[in-house]
Amino acid sequence: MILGWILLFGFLLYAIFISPSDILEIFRDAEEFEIKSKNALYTSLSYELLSSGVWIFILYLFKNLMQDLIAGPLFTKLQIASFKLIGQLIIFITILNELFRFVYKVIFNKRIEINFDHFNLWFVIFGLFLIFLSKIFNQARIIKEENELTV
Amino acid sequence: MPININLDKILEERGMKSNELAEKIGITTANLSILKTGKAKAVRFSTLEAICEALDCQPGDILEYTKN
Repeated sequence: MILGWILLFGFLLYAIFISPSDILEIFRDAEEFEIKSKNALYTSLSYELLSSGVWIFILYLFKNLMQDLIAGPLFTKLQIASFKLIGQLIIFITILNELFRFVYKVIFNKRIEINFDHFNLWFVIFGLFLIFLSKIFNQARIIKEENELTV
Repeated sequence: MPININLDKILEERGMKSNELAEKIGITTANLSILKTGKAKAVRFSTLEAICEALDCQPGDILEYTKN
């Protein structure tokens, strides 16, 4: 994923500083977006960079969370905050993705189209599940603390 | 918290030290310290019973309610 991100970043730099037409040629047959102009190319590449950057950050948080869950004690504040943040980021990026698709088509393809074919409802459900899990962990932390402070 | 623990006062009256009481009632000094400083969230009846027995007092002598 990180390699993919570096590759995208390379494409963007190449398009900006060297030759946008070469990169346009690569993406001309892209199914998802119809990239026909330089601006469309810059916009889609920048968005893909941002989106994949957020996914890399989510994976990094997930890795830290897993390490903490395996090694440390359960129901810590880090675990609660991580579950909540990962859930929020997943929901945010899924909705942002759909919004971007809509705005991109309005601006560059000159058509208003609401299409939920690419909308991944399971990601939103998974994000909500993680937020719910963080609430359960928070409740468990309170009960654990009460139990430890019972003499 | 509006519940005050008067354990220090009773201990002083009985001339007993904290670690002595902890040993008598079978709890750690750390837990007794939590109780004395008012950080405890709950007290077991068995602990209260042991404290009352060791200090020869009533639960009301140890616990006191004050309005906020």
